Amino acid sequence: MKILKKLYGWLNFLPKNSFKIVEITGSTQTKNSSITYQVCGTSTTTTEKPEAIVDALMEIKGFSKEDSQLIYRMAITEKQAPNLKITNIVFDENQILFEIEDIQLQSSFKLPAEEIINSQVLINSLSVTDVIIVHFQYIKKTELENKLQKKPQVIQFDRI
Amino acid sequence: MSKINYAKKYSTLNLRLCENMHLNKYNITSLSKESGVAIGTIQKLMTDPHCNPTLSSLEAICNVLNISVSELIGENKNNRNQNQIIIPLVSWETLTEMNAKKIPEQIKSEATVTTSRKVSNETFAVKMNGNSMLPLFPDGTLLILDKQKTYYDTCYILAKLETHNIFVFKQLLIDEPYKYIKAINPAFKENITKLEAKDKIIATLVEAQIQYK
Repeated sequence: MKILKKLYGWLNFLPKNSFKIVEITGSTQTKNSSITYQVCGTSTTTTEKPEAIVDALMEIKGFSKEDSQLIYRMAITEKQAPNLKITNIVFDENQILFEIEDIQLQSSFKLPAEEIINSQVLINSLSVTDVIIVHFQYIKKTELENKLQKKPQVIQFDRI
Repeated sequence: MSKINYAKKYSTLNLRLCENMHLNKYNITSLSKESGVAIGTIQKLMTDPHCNPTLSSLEAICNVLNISVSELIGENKNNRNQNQIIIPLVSWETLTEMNAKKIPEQIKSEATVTTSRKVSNETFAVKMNGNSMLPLFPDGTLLILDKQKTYYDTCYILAKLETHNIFVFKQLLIDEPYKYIKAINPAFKENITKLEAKDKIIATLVEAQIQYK
């Protein structure tokens, strides 16, 4: 029994994992996160996206439990993060335009609420908060248009 | 005799569409057939720098070319930064200490923000505080206000309520001869206030920059 305990202690002392995370850069929300990991026992480091590490299942097995969980979590969060975000709302007398930024391309374009709502692709790429903002504006605009249509016309009595 | 400049300026959309069509080996006819967008529309998208296409036709083209809409019409961040205007950012505390008539001349730039919009030299920015204007203006949103821009019904304004000596950012409702200000958050039940004669409308909102935490 004593020998087994000793052996178990030695096994715990020996390095189990082949890789360990040494640095995380970027953000999962902006889809630019990257993980730098080191091959244990050497000075070799590699930087890759969490998704790429998850894809290489052989590699993820070489990480510790905590590191593996972190990589999985980062990959999932990055995948779920919206591709587009509303950065600006431009107000004009004629219309209100939403400036939408493509997080990965770092480019933006302006569209009115009704056009965004009609596009399923855009709606799916925006965050829930942004979709609420667009919907709210769309409802406000529709309400206003309906109100203006219902406004009674001034009757000119002299013509009757 | 003056020289006539025949060089036509193409828009980013024109150039990007032509480039992607070339890369994917599409001509006008084949792209029209695949996307269901009329030949005339595609021709216009390729050559007219001022064309204003609908999102549905752009999406149909993007699906065929296997690109996103932002790849086709998106304006690059670096290009946007070239036309930026720096404007002062004022805190609500500083604003309260100021004479309403002399805003924004009195503003001593504590901090600055940038905008790519064409604004007058009487433009300034404040940071949204509170939840009264949710969901359109979350807490921390940068509100770009222009004093020279005329207000209109349903626009968003910065006003000074003289009776309470406070500045408020609300939606303006005009029902001549009366003016009202309203908090757009539906959770604020008693959210309409009538503007008195002595109350002042300081500036009109031209842009809201959402700040992500």
